Amino acid sequence: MKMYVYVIRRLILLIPVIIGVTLITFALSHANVSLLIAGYLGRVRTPQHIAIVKQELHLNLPVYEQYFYYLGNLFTGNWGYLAPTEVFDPGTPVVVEFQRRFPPTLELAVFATLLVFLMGLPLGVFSAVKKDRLTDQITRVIAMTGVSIPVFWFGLLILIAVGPNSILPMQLRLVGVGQIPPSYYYYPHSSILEPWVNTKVSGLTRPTGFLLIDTLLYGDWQAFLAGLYTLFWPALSVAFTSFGLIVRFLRSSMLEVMNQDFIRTARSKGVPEYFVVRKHVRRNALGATTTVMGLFFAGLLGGVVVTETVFGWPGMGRWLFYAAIGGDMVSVMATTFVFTIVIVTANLIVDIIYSYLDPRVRLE
Amino acid sequence: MSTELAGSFSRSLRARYESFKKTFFFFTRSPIATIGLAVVIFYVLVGIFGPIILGGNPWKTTQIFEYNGIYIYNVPQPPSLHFPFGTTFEGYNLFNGVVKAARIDLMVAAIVVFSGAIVGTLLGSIAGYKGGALGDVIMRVTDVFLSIPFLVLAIAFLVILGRNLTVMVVALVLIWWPTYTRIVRGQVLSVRELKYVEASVAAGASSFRTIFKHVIPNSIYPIFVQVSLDFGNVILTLAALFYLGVGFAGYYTPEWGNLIGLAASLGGGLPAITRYWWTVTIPGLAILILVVSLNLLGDGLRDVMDPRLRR
Amino acid sequence: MENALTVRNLKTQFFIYEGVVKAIDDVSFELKEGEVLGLVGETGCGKSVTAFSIMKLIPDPPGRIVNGEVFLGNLNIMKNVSKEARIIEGKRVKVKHFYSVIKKNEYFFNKIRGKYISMIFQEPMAALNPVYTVEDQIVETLILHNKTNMLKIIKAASEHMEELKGMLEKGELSYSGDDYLGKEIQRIREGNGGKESIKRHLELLIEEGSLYIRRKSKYESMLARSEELDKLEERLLSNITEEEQMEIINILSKETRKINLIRMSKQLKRKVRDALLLEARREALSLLESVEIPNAWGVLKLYPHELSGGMLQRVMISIALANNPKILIADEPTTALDVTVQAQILRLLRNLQDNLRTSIILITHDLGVIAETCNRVAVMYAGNIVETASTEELFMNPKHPYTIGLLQSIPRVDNPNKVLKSITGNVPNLLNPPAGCRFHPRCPFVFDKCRVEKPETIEVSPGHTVACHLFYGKGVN
Repeated sequence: MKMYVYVIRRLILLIPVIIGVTLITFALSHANVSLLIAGYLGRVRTPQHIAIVKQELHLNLPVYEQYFYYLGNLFTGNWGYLAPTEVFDPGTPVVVEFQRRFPPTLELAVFATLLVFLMGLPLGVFSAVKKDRLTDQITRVIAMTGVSIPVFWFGLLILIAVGPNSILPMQLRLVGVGQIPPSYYYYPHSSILEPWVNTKVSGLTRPTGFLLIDTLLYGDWQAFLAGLYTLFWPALSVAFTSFGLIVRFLRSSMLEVMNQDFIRTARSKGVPEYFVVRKHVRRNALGATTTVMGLFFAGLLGGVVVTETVFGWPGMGRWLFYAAIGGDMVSVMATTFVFTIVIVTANLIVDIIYSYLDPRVRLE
Repeated sequence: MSTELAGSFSRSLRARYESFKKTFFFFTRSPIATIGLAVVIFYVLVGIFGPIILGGNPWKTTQIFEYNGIYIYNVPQPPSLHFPFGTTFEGYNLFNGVVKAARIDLMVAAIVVFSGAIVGTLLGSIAGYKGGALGDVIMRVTDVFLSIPFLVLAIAFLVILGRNLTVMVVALVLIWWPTYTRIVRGQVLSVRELKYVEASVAAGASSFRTIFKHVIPNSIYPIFVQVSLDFGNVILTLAALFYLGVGFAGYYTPEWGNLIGLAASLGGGLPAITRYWWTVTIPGLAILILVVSLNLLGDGLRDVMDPRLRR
Repeated sequence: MENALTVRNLKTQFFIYEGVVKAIDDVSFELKEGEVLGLVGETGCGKSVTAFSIMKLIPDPPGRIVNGEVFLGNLNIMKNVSKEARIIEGKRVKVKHFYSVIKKNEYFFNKIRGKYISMIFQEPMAALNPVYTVEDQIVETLILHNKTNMLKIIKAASEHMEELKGMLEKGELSYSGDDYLGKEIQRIREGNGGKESIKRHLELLIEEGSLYIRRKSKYESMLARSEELDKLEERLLSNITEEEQMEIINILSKETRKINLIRMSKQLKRKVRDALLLEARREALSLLESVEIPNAWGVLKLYPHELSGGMLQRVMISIALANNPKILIADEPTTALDVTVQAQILRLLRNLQDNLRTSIILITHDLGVIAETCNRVAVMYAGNIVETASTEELFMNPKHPYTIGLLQSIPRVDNPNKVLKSITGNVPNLLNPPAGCRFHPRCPFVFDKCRVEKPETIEVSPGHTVACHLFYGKGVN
């Protein structure tokens, strides 16, 4: 069948999943009603205030009606406000906060995924082709160790190695405010990234919110490179602890493909071995790898959340962390929801790529 | 009729025992997997007997103080004879803490993994056997839960429903059951398609019993493998949750992640951690070694039990 | 006159955990030019392994070609076998890997496979790559081995653009020159593709020609280089020294690497402005027409899972014959197809063989297929060839007890006897094959010598050989 038909079908299948997610977030947010109310109250907690809040939040209505209000709010962008207990500007609408928080997380996640593919794909291929030889054994050990390391611990180790107190030369250190978690690490010496971080002070506007893109847009090469360096370490932290999954899976699916008949046919045509691997085996194996992607992304985003807190990356993960500590339930639910949507979207993209790679899938 | 059943049951038991012995033999061939098994067993023993042997309060075991310009704190001591792992902030005896943490982590992980496996298997069997609308609904629910990042859901649960053991276990089980459902459902579906199952159902055997007689032996292998992998992942997630401070049982729970989190927050930043590196490194190593061994065990099991890879 | 293929003392073994499987034990036979040799035997007797050994498609762990010579005409293509298969006997049998030697042999063989010897397989659906179209898979082999020819056709097309355009307008193939273009037009004529197809052929030729003219220098240098490489290849396949062989292989492998990568990425784009690829696609069209596939142009764009078994087998045949190989090995080509399709495929093979003068080794377990299609037959049992003869001779005058048993076990309509005869016993386990003659446990004529000594191959009448002690001393020589 044609590609766009397949895409439309997948989009339709998406709807029940999204509904399910909203159900869960709704159930969770209304599970602890007192917490919900507390988020909207300030210091003042008189019974009248509580009654007003209850009215506003439609808490006196039956559950299913509340659900529809919830959905309505969700789709109109009325996601509530940051609780007054927040470290950040209290009272900001959650949606606005997203504009600030989403780009850094996306940046980190994308960079980490890139690193994973850069590290994982070639290693997976090598591991399969040179099966049981030294390269294979070493790769498997590295990959497995990577997956077994706690993300936060790895991040801390990296900070010990590269942070302000490390034994490395000054140029290579990441310097921040010194607390854990700090607010943003940047290069020492020239406050290269400072104007980008503290936009209120410097007056720079951040058109996209993505550090790398913004610096490029302004033509500030040094800041771009500094940003790259700053982004690299947390991304490495996330990538190293997740790429083992890809390596392992790619290896096993390549081995499976290499035993298939059509590989033998390709060899019998006189196709040289490296070409057999590159053209015939890889495409089939990559197709199968996409099935494991969903799980992979879920793990990756979890790692991103933790890494953001360790490195002080100002993204959704850190926001979630502070909200969790401070009891700001609204933010917690909002971030959960957005994370889920991100994964669902990623799965969709991966499925579409899969159907491009493997035409058999489109037939279903 | 029942004696027949008993006879065939004991015969199949013996056959299972034989194949188990063979599996074990193959397993011990691989040195790496055996090391993994040995380490895991070691941890289990430590978890069971450690706290009993050690006992006592790990706190305030040292009285050396220092002023860092902001406040006075109890200086962590490096590893020494008296304190094998040294101490961390507030005079906490790290050795004590690490050993006790083994028990908590292993127990919680065990509960989570096995509950998740059981729930997942049940739902998967229902989804596969009954099929139809119910099956579809279950699979959709699986999809939903697989779309929520693991850590995030757990954090949300703990924040909203309170930070106690039950909530944590429930949250983690909710994260982990979908994988088993998928595996088991796949097995059930493929077994249903087998020709001899069709034939025996046509001949009058109850389809329920036939299917499960074949599903269970075939799915034990992937479930085992998944369990051993999940164990490691659950422990990592537990540690992460504790590090973030959303764990149960209070601020000073002996748990590896918690210890690291304590070091990070009580120390007041990166300089402290760099100076007193053992407070962070040692608990992390404890986690790393355990999870690596679990993965080795899982890999070994997979290599041994995979029917295709029989050399 | 030399044989197309001579196999001598071929020995292949598989080294697995439980021990050594002696799959092929001293197999020798000859394939004469232009004939169809049937290789028949039960499942597990080693027919496929023989074929893979000749093509060197044995997966290296766990298999190894331990001994033997295979002559393609005059050239021994198994020269370095003994070097590869250095075995250390000890408590456990270890096989050493000499990777450099293996690699060198691989390069050498890649020139042979697909061009001089090619193969078709049993399950066509499994044997074709599911993620590439039929066209891609045919084009692949053409570009690997047939560049010079294709470039020459393009060049010839570019020199006769006017005539081609005229032909397109009138819709008929009225070219009568004697060059490459003429031969190709002749081929199109014989393809019987119909008006649509003729139009496509002509359109493609015109496009190629104009591309050639536009980038004349590029294509001319490509052609010159390709002819150089051809000469090198020819040299490689004659009897030269090792060093020279190594040199040539190095040059050739660099070339292949360079060109193929670029070609490959272009190949997958539909709108391609490369004359060579267009010509390859046009050739693919011709090939599909020659194997009698209806609507060849449509089929080209399809994926393997969209075609039926019979069609796919034809596609495989067209791929195998694309470069006019001297030898075609057909491994049970019809076993997976139903009987009507089977007849078509066999007829097709015979026709193609008549036209192209390819020698065919037809592997099968079906004696009926043998009777219908083969000139000569070799019977295999448990890794040995037990009897070879012309088809008629074998059926009329079988000598080896196994052959006799096989023929007797075929049920016949005119036989009043209701009981089916079979050969007692089972096919032996090749981990521990029987000593002496491998058939002796099941042989009704067994005597002492059979249990101990392996029988020699004796020629009992011209062209008819048997490996059995019963005929010791009764040979013709």
